[in-house]
Amino acid sequence: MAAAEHAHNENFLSRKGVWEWVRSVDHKRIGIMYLVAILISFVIGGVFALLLRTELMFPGKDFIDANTYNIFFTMHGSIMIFLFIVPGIIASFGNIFLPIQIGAKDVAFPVINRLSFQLYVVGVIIIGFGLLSPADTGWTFYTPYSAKSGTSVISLAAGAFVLGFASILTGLNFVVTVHKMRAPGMHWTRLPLFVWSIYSASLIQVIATPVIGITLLLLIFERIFGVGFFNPELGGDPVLFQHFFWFYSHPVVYIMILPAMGVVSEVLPVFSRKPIFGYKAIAWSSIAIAAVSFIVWAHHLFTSSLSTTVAIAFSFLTFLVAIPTAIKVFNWLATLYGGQIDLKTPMLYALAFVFLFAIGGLTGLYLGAVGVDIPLHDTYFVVAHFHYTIQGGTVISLMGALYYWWPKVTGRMYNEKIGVITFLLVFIGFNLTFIPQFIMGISGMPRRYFDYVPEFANYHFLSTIGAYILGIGYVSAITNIFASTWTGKKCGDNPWNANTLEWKIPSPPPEHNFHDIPTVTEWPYEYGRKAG
Amino acid sequence: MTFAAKLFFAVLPPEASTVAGGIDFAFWLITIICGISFVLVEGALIYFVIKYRRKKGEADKITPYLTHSTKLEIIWTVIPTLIMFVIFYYGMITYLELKTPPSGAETLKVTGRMWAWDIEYPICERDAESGIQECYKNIGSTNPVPGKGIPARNPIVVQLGKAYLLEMTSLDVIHSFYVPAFRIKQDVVPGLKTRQWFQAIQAGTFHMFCTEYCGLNHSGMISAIKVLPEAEYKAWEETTRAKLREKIAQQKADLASGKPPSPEMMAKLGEAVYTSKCASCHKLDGTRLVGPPLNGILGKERELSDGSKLVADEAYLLESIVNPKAKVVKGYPAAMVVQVSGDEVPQVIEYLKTLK
Ligand code: HEC
Ligand SMILES: [Cu+2]
Ligand SMILES: [Cu+2]
Repeated sequence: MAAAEHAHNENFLSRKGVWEWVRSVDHKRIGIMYLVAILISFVIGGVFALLLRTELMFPGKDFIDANTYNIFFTMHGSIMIFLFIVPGIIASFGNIFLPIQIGAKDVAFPVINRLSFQLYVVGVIIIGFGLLSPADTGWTFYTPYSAKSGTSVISLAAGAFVLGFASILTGLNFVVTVHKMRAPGMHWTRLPLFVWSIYSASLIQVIATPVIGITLLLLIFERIFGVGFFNPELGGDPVLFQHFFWFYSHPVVYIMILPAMGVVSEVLPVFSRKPIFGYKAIAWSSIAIAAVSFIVWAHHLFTSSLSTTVAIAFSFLTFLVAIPTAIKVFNWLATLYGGQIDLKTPMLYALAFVFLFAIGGLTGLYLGAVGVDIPLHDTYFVVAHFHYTIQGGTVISLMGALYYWWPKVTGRMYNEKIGVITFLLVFIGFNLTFIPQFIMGISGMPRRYFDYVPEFANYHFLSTIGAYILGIGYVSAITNIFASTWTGKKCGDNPWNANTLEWKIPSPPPEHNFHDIPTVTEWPYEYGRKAG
Repeated sequence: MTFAAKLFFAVLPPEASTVAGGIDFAFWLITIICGISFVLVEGALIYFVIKYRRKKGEADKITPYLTHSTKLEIIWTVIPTLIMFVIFYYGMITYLELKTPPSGAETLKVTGRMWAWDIEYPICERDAESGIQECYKNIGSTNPVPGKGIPARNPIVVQLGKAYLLEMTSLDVIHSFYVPAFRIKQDVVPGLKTRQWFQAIQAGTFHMFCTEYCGLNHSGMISAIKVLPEAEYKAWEETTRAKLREKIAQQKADLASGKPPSPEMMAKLGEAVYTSKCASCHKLDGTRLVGPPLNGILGKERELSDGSKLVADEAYLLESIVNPKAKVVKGYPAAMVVQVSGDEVPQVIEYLKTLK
């Protein structure tokens, strides 16, 4: 404790002022800026979602018109994907904790790390310009509609292009950092699973993102110079765009979900007081998922115009990716077995992750089976499925990460009671929003519909109510955790009694993390006692 | 069957085509597998949380130090893998069935356009003497208010038990042809010909949706498929043929008399053309939709995208319709795509002239 008091003056937050943030190359400050930026994006994207749900509450036009609706769902998707969830956990908590967890003073290239955030800001500004005539193509930019739409598709695509560079730089930085900057004794088999997951996701970022960059560039070329790549009127092929697009956008799903799995693999052992079960299986399955994620993209195109052979081959490959995912779920369950489970808010989110992600994964089996996918494709079933994986997975895990790590960042504890209540709101609201969407999808309700036939009215109504509860839940949960920065009680360096390196240094962490680089002698999951 | 199961069964659309049963079988198989997995996984989760929960104020306990178990891990890798093979297999065979049309299916030509479907039937009448031929075509129209249900007007009629092969393409952007009750869905891509087949096994009227986002009225690009038993279908076909013969006779009479139809007649025909082919993009109340409003356009000054100006005369209207990309109105995308026949153009122009 004395060491913590002493270090208090020189923590990484001591120097105040906006300029200190802007010019900083400290990975922790960059991570916090990313965190704040993505959470703002999350709230804005969420507001769009609520506006959409409000229109959909009853059949017929009763709130916004079709054109506004189309713009809003494009904004919702683009903001959530490009500004929030792709940078997501990697750029925020990855930045703050990956270097500390491997015992490094910073990432390998701190200045490039700052450049990454600057590019992110530039990307946001470019997309912001597009708001003058907002795009209505959906975040997927499918051609030829996106080649024809009279809206500012170019600035949205250009913004996404720049954001792509931000994520390549972050990925590159982390890959090199993990390879080169591990503390003495931090063997690959002693790396925290959070690091493993960020590492796998970073590999995907570096390999896949250039593809979307080029694709968007081609699209911009086509719109400005009329060069025919995707527009059949100019001799292009619209389905080619879909292949390019999903070649990136499928792996990107794992950029989002792998770090979330990493967080859960940290939180579960700490709050069960047990070692993680099947460390190697979890680490390897991260790598396996990263590899297989590159060869499943065409399962988004089962209805588009694939030959039957291709469709069946991709269906098969898709099931391959499900296996390592299932293995992880079993490992997490086994981690709970025989533990001493402490239901603090971070643990609640981690458990909710396993619960919801299992539903997301199981419903994926319907979509992977090509014949069954045909009627379900592009219906609300798909919408519900990916919200269960991306929101029920990544966002829930990000919330868990916030509750788990924010006390480390500030040295102050949040209000536990509000944490639990807001968690319940989120959990109930989430299920109420998306379970009706599964059902109406099975009944044939297509997605991206401004208006719908009356048969679906009850489901839409329930879903909208759920969305309101969910919105209230998230906003109050985030408010609760940030309020603790100023109002929380001091909680010492290691309130959760956890073993990874970040908990062994003072809270808030010192500017350079470690006075002396530690020597690592054991893996970080040394909980419980060996039998005999 | 319990009430809950009934509720859930009713969730699937009717099984109205030959492939629906097989797909639903696979669907229920997956549902059973998922249901069991769900109960096991979530059950274990909840059970562990309750059983091993730390009690309030409880001191730190010594927990078992379990790090891995090769046996267990092999079991829970192999079993899911086997199950996935089974699911994959059923997905594959149902898909093959869905994609293999029987021989001798009747071909319907489907054209998707913003925001309606046109279906061309091989139902044709031909006048041997003059060589005039007319085929039945179901010209769709945008449904502006799906929330009020799908109007019964102009459904796509097919015969119960007959196999149909759809040959599909699009005039503008990608659409997707989806009939939930038939369990069929196929994208309709400009510049490509995609195919899908079906054979209805249940009479009735079923929803048909567009499931690929295609702009402003995507959700209005819906229609109904009406499956008629053979006798009723034959009766429908006979009236359809009679109408075609009437049309041919009318054309022959016009030709014979050598006199052009009156402007009023033309405008009347033009109104029908307008409603089915132009109204999805152009309004007549002075407000903008996808394209500019067209009421009172004749004689108005127009500003084009290259900055030049002109006064809209009949020639300009003609060019705008036949070759929309030649002159693009300022402030609008060059997004007009429309298929009109040679005789429809003068009719719709005549109609536009009557509007103020
Ligand atoms: C897919 C949407 C769409 C459809 C369908 C469509 N138009 Fe257009 N139309 C447009 C757009 C967009 C413009 C403005 C750009 C341009 O001039 O090409 C336009 C422009 C025009 C103009 C010039 C208007 C002016 O203000 O100078 C005329 C005339 C016209 N359309 C007639 C028609 C007629 C007649 C039909 C039906 C046979 C039709 N359009 C169908 C989208 C459409
Ligand atoms: Cu469409
Ligand atoms: Cu559509």
